[in-house]
Formats: sequence, structure tokens, C-alpha cells
Amino acid sequence: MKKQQRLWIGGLAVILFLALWEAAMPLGWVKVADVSRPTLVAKAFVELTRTGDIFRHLFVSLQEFFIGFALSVVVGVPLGVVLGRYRYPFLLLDPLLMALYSTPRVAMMPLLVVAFGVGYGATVAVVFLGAVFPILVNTAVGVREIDRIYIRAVHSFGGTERDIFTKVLLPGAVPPIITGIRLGVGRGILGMVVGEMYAATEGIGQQISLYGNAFAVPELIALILVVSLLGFLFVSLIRLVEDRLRYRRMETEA
Amino acid sequence: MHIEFKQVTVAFPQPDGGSLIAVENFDLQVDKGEFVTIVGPSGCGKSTMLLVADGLLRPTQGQVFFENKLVTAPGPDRALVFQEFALLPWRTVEGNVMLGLELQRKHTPSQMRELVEHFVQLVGLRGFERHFPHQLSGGMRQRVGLARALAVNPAVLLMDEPFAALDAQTREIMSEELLRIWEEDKKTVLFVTHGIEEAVYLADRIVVMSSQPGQVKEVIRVGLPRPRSLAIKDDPEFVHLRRHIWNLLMKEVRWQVDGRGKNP
Repeated sequence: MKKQQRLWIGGLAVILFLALWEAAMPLGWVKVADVSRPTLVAKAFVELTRTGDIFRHLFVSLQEFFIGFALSVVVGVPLGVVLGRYRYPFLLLDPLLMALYSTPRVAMMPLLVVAFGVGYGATVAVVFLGAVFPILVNTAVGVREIDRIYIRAVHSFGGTERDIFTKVLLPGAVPPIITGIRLGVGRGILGMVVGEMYAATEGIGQQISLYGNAFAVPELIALILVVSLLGFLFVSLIRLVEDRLRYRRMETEA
Repeated sequence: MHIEFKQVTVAFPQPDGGSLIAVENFDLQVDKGEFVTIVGPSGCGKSTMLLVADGLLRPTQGQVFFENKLVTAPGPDRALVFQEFALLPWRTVEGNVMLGLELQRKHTPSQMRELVEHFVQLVGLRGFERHFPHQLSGGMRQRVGLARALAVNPAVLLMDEPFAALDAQTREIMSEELLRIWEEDKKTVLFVTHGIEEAVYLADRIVVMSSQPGQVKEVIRVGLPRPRSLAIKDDPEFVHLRRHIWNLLMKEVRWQVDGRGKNP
């Protein structure tokens, strides 16, 4: 299917949804207090941006997100490469990492607050914990699945273990690493919102919590949309990079 | 003497605790500038001997000497050409030819670029420098593999069934090309193949191997004049050699096909 056609059909669904939503209240299907209306949400959004408040919170949130996310890339990629390449570190760390991986991050929130304090630290930590695993796991699997023949080729030219990392394992695992990063972005944003909702004095998540508790539905929905737009934007950007790479380097068999 | 195999035996451990002898007491001396082909049925351990000569595999018993020095690890003086090409799919033709040079750490970047350009042209890939392996045919990919090996200016070229993955016509053309390139500076070549014609056409000497365990069955000197064109395949001497090797291997292959196991 053509890209344009896909956009058009998808766009139609969005417009239809907004129209139904707008009409739902006057038609008496729902109470406006529960779900608001697109026009009210838009008005709330304009109001939030006019005071500039939302930008301050967005800035805090993005800062927490990027610090936590950068940390998860810095830790996840090298650790993933090592776990994908060497047997014993993998056997050693696998049970621990899997246990940590399968623990819901939300359940760890109180612990993180105790450890890092309310606000910044705890949120950065939960973003990190959310994003690091998909990055780590995808990197490790990507490295493990690289054809050994490439490693043998580098060896045969007298290459060192270091050469194998820089010339085969890292470049060879770029597509799965980027896939891991894309999945990590989603988890990171989730972590950011959850962290701020649980324990923070500022940030988008904290604002969501605040307006939610005040039953200020239009503002609440506006904020939720900001978060979802943010995630959509990041993921789309990474998708773009992914597609470029896929086009450039299709694997060759014999 | 350029390469010397002394009583080389390679055994691989098996899951049941025993070991499988791939090659037994392999003896061979290769002179500088000599083109030696090793031909044998599948499973005779001929590729194993190349890995041993390269230093990627340590023999269970015996030694390999290169220029009178014991081979213990791969070195840039011996370059391997793989049956599966082993080109890095994320690198262009240029990038792949560059690989060996980068690992050698001997040249400046501008020297490396010049060498890459030279060898890309030598193997007839001019105009394809920016192509990725998946955009090339099998024959072109192996040209890249050959250029990559030649670029490091090795003393010895180790070729592991390099044309086995190619179709028959491409294979013929590639072997003719290989001889053309080899005639330029006559490197020592160890060329493993299961193609009898290919083995005769290329070689100064042919090592015929038997299987299970792999042993040298016969070493045959090829007296055909050089340079050789593909037309030499109609020469009576060529036909005779081909038939002779076929007879040697036929028994081997029969044994394998009939599943009667070990040679008597």
C-alpha cells in the first residue's frame, strides 16, 4: 500500500474519532465531566501554554528523561555487547538481570524514593531501569547472532579482540541496538511519568497527577496528549533511522 | 621451502567423549611461488589444512612452518579467501577491501585508499566501489574477497573452495581471472577445491586426498605450460590428468555414497 494512502486512511480515523467525541456530550451519551470534549481540551491546552507553566514542567521531565535514557544507553550497549560475546559473564549475570527485568518497575518506586529522594533522582532512576533492559537484551541478542565467519575473517587478518568489537560486533549489531533504543524510549517515557506521578514536585507526570486529583479533566487530557505526542515523536525519529539502515544493509547470504 | 606441513594430525572432540580424526599425518612442502591445489572428497579435511596453515586452528599433532617459522597464529603474511566470501554486509566494496589493511596498521589512510583503488581495479570491480555486498552477484562478491586478501600483499594466498558457491560458467571465468592475477607476481597459493578440473587447470602440483581419515593419497605434478587459457582443458595431458584424479577419487566417493564407511 502506498504511504500516502495509509496516512489518509489513518487520518480519517482520527478525524472521525474526534468528531464522535465532540458530539458525544450533546447527544447525551456521556457526561462532560467524565471525558470532556476536544474543544475544551484544546482550550485547556492553550491556557496551559499561555501561562508557560507547561513548558517549565516539560523541561524538567525531558531533563529527567534524557539523563536516565542516556545512562541506559551508556550502560546497556557495552554491557549487552559483552554479554553477547562472552559466555561466562552472561551465565553469571543472566539470572540477576532477568529477575530485575521481570520485577515491575512501579513496585520498585518506593524503594527508589528511599534511595534517591523525592523528585529528580528517583525519576531518573526509574527511567533508567525501564529503558536499560530492552537496550541491553537487544544488543546482546544482536551480537550473539552475528555470523562467526566475520569474526574469523578479522582473526585471519591478524585482528585483535578489540578489532572484533570495533569492526564486527558493534557495527554488526547496530540494527538490533537501534530497535532496543526504540523500545527503550517507550519504557523510558513510561518511567518518567510514573516516577513523577509517584513522587515529584514538578514535571508533566506530577501535573497529570495534580489535575487528576482535582478532576480537571480537560487539562488532564491535554497533558496526557502532550506525553503521548512526545513518545510518538521520539519513536518516529528512531523508526526513520531504522528504515534507512535496513535499506542500506540487507544481510547477504553466501 | 615456503610452507611445510610436518606430520599434521587434526582431531576434533566429539560429543560422546571420543574424537574424530579429520586429517592424519599430512605432509606437504610448498615452494615459494608455487600454485598447489588440494582436491578430495567432502570431509577429507582439506579445508582444515588451510585453517592450520593460516594459524586459525592448532593441529593436534605435528607442525606447520611458514618460512621456516612455526605457525601459531594468523598473520598478515598469509591471507585467507573464504568459500562464503565473509564480506561485512554493512561495508561497501571499498570498505571490505580496506578491512585487511586497517587490521594490518601498516599504511597511512591515503596509502590505504590508493591500494584499495588499485586492487578494486585489478579484480575488475571499478565503478562498484560504493556498492554493498547484497547488491553484487556471487562472482563479484568473491572478487571483493580476493581483492581484500591481495590488498595486504600476503606472501601466501590460502583459498578455501573460493568458487564453490558460484555457478559453473562464473566459476570458469573466475579461475581464469585468478590465473591472470597470479601471473603478475606469482604468490604462493594453496587452493582447496572439490572440483577436479579446477584443480588441474590452476595447479603446478595437485594434492589428492582420501577421506576418513583425511590423508594424502597422491601428489601429482602438472606439466602444462603457462600462461594457461581455458582452451587448455582440451589438451590430451589435461584430459589424462583429469581422468587419473577422477579414478583416484572415484573409489573414495563410491565408498562414501554406498555408505560402506571406512576405506579398506
